[in-house]
Amino acid sequence: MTTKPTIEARVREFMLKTVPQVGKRGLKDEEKWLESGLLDSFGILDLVQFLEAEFGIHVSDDELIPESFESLRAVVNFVETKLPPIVLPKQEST
Amino acid sequence: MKPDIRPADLVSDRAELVGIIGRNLPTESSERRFDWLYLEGPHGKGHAWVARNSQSSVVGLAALFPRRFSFAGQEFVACVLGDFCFDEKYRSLGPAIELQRTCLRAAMASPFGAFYDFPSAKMMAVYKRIGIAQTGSVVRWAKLIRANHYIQSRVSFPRLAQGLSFIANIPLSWHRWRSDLGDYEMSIQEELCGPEFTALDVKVRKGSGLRTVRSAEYLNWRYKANPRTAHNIVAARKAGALVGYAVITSEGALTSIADLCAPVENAERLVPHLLTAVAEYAHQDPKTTTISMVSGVSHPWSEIFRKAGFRQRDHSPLVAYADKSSATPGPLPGSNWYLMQGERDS
Repeated sequence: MTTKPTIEARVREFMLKTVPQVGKRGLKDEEKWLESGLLDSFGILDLVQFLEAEFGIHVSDDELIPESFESLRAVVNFVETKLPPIVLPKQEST
Repeated sequence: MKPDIRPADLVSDRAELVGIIGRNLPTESSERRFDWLYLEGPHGKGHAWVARNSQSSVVGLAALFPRRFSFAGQEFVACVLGDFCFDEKYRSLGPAIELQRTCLRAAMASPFGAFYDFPSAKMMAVYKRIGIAQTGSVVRWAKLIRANHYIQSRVSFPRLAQGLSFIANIPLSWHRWRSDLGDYEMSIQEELCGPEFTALDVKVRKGSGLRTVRSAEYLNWRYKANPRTAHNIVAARKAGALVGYAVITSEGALTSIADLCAPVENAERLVPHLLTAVAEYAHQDPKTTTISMVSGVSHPWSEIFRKAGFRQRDHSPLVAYADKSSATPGPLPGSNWYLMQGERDS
């Protein structure tokens, strides 16, 4: 099951692997990646490609807006909305 | 609001197109460059698509430029992509991808049989998103002809640096001692290229491989009338008849080879002589330290370049596809493509 902490951990791992500055200064939840220069619009496309492959989601061109990918929190929230809802098994009556 | 994407009118949108190129691309943008590249190309006018904001101002541009190619004895029209840019405020990803997708749809439709582009490593993210993979690479070759800069940057005593440079330059000048140009006469083509260049192109195209059609008209437009860069053509003649040429540019310490032309059956012998003639020309300017050129990574003459003392430096991506109905189905044949800097327009 893909939970919020799992999404966050995988995105952190991706950023650590692909953005050299993240290794030096870490990654804050609220930091705006475009504003701080950690990612540019091309970097966001690499991130989107990773998210699609890693979580099996599809991101349409219309959904490619910077606000959805501007920070760790925004990315985690976006991925969560794209994942199928978790269906809990019915409890059997005893 | 999402920018509106539509074809550009090269005449009525001219000023806006010159403006967006100037705002976003490192190339010097001017009306002269625009007219030359978009309107005056002998293989056909350029095509452009623009993204407009709610005030109807141009905020994004994608363009393609027709190129006539020959392959396996057949001619077809391809196009090279260029000048892709978006104003910073509008660089959200969806419109940029939609704009490039629109341009690529046209690049793969009639009358074009193929398209190619020299995207930056970053721009490859846009291509990947569209579902287009990198098909090859271009490589920058370099040959040192003087070591002065290299030594001066490492040795702080000027007299010592001068002495070391003198010694290091001796082996680098080997071509001057053995500058055997065979029975070729080499000269700078001062006048416009005439019918002999078209006749050579017809002969060269009978050989194997994928080549741009380099008629005299094309060469005069691409190199002689180029408003951005001054080019010189080193022409090789045998008994007065044109047999090949190299096109070169010089800037600062660098002389660059933009184009090389020789018939396949004569290349092993002629191309080394052309490279020697370029080195001799470059050596006449005391500022020049390096000769460089860009070619497809599997250019058929790579081994000749290596033997002439050129070494491969950095690589960058190449995207090149042909329509299935054209003479060269699928990815363009990188191993048989005489691709050089001259094939790139922006």
